[in-house]
Amino acid sequence: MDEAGLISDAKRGDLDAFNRLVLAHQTKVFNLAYRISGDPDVAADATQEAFLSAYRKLRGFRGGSFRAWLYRIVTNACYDELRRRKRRPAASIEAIEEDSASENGVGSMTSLFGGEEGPESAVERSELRRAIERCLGRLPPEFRTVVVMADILALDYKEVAASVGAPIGTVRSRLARARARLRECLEASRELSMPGERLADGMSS
Amino acid sequence: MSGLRDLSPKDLERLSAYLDRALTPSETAIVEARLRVEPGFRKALEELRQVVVAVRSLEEIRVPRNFTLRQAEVSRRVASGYPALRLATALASAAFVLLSGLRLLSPLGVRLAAAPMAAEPQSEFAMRAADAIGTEEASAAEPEVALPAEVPLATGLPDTLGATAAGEAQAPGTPTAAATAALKTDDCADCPPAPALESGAMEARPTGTPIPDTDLATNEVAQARVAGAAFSWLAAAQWGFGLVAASLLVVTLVVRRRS
Repeated sequence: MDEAGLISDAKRGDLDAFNRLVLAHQTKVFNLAYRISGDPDVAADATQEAFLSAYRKLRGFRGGSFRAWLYRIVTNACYDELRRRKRRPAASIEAIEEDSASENGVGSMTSLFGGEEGPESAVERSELRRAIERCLGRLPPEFRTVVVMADILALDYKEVAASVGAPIGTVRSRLARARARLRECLEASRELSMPGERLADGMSS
Repeated sequence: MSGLRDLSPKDLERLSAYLDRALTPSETAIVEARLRVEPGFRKALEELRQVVVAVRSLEEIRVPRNFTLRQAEVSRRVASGYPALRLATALASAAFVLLSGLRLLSPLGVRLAAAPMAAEPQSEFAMRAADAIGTEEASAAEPEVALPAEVPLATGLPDTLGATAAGEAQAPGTPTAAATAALKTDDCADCPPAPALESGAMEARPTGTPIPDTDLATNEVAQARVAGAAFSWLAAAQWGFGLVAASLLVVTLVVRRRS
């Protein structure tokens, strides 16, 4: 059944239909939550809360991009979860990253990344990934969200605008400024030069 | 111009949108024309492209588990309003108890204030009305007017009804008419019809000189009406909260049992 049919059934209370939508979107939703929060536990909680919230609010969905509607819910759930955890003493994102690094890739966070790699490639990619994640984490949340949506989830500007509830012009401006800040951050961490060239070469080929 | 840092915010936006193919054809043509002649502009584009490629290189993370919902989970979450229901029940019950206490304490004062005021002016007014209309009509009107003031003292719950009836009976201009209409009984077959009395009362005033005592009595009657009205609001609020508290209690118990 297509997505519209599943949404229609789920609106009538068909939980199985809704769960098929969950299975279709959960990876992107979880990735969005993880990239916004930088914490797998926050991301898992926000994802679960977002799907519950979406199920309850489904009758209010009036068409348009279902994934943009879902992403908006999970983004808000992430912000709520981060605010809630900020009020309690908890390990920072950077502390989690350091813990993961000290465990040579076998920590809870790195275990989420799949795939077997050769030793050199794994080290390079791991360093680059950590640098990008660190720089993403330093962006203001509204900048980080548009970068994740546009560059990681590959949403177009219209969908990003619908997901964050802002005009397209604002999305365009935030995205450009976020990319410029990321460039500065990555240059400062000296992580971009070699891998960046390699990636640029890869892109042009 | 030496790269991204030297770009104006507008140029930065244009290059960023150019990478995403989000420019209009005319904007794209302008950007491409500049890229052909401005090395710094080209360098800035390349720097921006490297950032985008780097971010896009982040691998997708596998979900740690499935996030499908279970029926029990959905039901439990729906029942998560239980604490709010419990609080609302407690608040409504507290309001009911408070208002009950107020009514227990205040009826005495309200009745003492309302009953004599409601009764005396009526008697006086009726006497004066009797003078104006005739003794026969007045003797018929007086017991009818005195009755509503007595009703609240005799019964418990209908306080407000009695007070309201008394208030209606005290309406200036048509005092006994209203009382007659409200309280006319079958055993008063020889009573004069209400319209006749009303017209008599209405005629009595314009023809005679104004009676200051009647105005005073009317003020007292008005005060009694205010006291009666306040008391009726108190009663209405009390029973309203009682009803809400009972309903919430039932809903809370049902929700608790289901969860």
